[in-house]
Amino acid sequence: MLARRRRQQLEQTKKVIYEGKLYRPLTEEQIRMIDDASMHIFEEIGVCVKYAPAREYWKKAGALVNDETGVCKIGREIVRDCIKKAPGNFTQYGRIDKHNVEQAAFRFYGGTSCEAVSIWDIETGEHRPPNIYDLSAGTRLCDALDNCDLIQSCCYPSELSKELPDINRYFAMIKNTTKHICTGPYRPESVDKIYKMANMVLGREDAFRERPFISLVCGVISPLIMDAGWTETLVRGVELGFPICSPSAPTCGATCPGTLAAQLVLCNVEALMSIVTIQLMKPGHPCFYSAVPMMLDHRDGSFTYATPEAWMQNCAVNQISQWYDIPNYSICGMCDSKVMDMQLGIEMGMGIIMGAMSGSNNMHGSFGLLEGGLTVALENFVVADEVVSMAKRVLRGIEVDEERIALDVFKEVGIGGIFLDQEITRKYSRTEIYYSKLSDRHNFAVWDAAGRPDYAAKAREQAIAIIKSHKPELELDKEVEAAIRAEFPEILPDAGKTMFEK
Amino acid sequence: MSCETIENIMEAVLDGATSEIIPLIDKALEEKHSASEILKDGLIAGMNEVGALFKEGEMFVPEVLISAKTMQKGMERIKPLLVSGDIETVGKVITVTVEGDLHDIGIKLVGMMLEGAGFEVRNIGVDVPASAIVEAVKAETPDILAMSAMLTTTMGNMKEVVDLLKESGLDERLKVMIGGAPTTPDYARKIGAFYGADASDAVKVAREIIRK
Repeated sequence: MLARRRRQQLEQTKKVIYEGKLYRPLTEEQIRMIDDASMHIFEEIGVCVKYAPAREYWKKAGALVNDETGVCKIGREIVRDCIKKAPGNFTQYGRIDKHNVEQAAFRFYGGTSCEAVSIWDIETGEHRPPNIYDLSAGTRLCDALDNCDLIQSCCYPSELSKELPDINRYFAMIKNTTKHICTGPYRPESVDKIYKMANMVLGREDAFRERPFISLVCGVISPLIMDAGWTETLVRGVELGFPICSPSAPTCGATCPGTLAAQLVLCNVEALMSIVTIQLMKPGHPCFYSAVPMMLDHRDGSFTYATPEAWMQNCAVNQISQWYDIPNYSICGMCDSKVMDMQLGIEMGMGIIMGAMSGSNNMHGSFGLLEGGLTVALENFVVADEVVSMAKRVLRGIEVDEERIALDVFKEVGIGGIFLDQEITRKYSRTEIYYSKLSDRHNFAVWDAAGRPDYAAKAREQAIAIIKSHKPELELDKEVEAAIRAEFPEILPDAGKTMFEK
Repeated sequence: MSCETIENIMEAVLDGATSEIIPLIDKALEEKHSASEILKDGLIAGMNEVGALFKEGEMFVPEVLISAKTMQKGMERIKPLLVSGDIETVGKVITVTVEGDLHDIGIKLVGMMLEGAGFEVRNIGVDVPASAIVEAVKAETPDILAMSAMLTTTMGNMKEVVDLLKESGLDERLKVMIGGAPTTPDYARKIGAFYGADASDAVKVAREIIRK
């Protein structure tokens, strides 16, 4: 009751929409070839659907199903029909409307990615396993930063039991944000629990179906396997109304032939096989075209996220999703660097701008992790917020109109004149230009006199200040929280607190 | 003593409302406010606030300049009404761009901000030879000479000016400050001048110089 009333009181504003149509790595012909090759794979090789209940849907639709091996071969007409049924736009709800993400082709949205197993301690600089306070702080920070739209669990709290980590993770996140949570559980059994908890948060049974403020991220095993556990999660998630991301994540040369083209074909088949499953189950259910192509460094077998190929591939994924008109889930902005150094800066800058320009709808990794997703530095979120802002400025573009061309001002001020004190300069001084909170543009003397401020140190200071001072717009009612904790006794006493609230 | 109209004048300066300042000042005069009050509590108070906001990064250069324009417009209106002694100039400054250099946006910004801070400022132009600068100092007897250069090649002329001032014996009363992209605190120290890192720093330095 209380929660609903408070929700109605909050101001209704909407997110500004930025569209990225500027970078299109593939030609129409290339996309057709990838699409055609994918259909051949569906028809001639098939995919392995390990979870029997999911296979039933394929069977019913007319696929050739081998229940012993799990392999399903399906005709392209059925695949194309499912592509058509997958909605081209849908809403990923926040707990308040102003955080709603209205998904549609080309729209640039992003956020954190899952899920680091190490953290650079924000106060001591120590490299250590993360804890529940770190997850809460990271979520809180993302709630505060304007350019984080969708929040994944940024780190795995190492004190959680291996058997029951999920409820703690979601609870800690719900306590710290009213934005859309887009993250997956470790166990299929958790889906029902998350649904129950979400309804308790919203104040009414089945309220979640009207305001699904959580998307589930599942996964597949390359090449061509829909894993049992993840598919069970996916199926249950669809039944309960969660939007689904089920990313294909092949490594080029390991789980697909070692070419970019082949990797895109595999990404396509695997992205579509989840979509087929979902649309056969429930036509029109919101789901993403999800693929996270990764590269290998063949010199030593390292996984790499931040390479030109990886960026291009993820942008190609986005482009193909636009061809099918299904919102995309991909990665750009994730870094291979272990620390916040020059390498990180380059990786974030290039990845984020390319992803934005290609219309990345769910760019998990724009609020990047380090070490290919294994390490998190919370202060990096503040940096990411800036880089994403700059990318959005590029997407906003250059406005050319009579007023801005300002011929009359040229005439008035004339040859050799100054325009700094002209009204038109002042009028647009705040909007034509993006103002950085972190980049230092002073001359040496000023910078030197200020103590040679260090970029990462500034980011850290800002991050700590935000974590300490920011509160999400909705706080859980005490009774609601007590009821949730009673229902799920595995929730740690401090779940939801940042390290400064211990 | 303050009232709504005086506050509105201050806000007009803050907002850079060039079209409103004259009607507001006329209204204040009708309400029997003195020109001195309009100057101190309206115009100068407004520019002081602008300076503070600029320093904090809340106001931007184009906004500052239009605020200064507004203040100047107001100044012109009330100057004839001011009794001598009403304007207590903090100090008198000559600003100039040295020989061989045509850049003056920075020094003009410095000039505007110094005026906003209550200094009397006279800009004597660009590409001015050392001898002409010294002549101007002789004629105007400023408290401060503020020199600007944008090019490393013209920077050396600043030393020439300082040396010439010493020779002419004008360096006793006068203080020199320099600024501009290639200049550094080290170079300023070497030639016996003060250094202003940017426009608002220049105002700070000028104030400190005057106090000594």
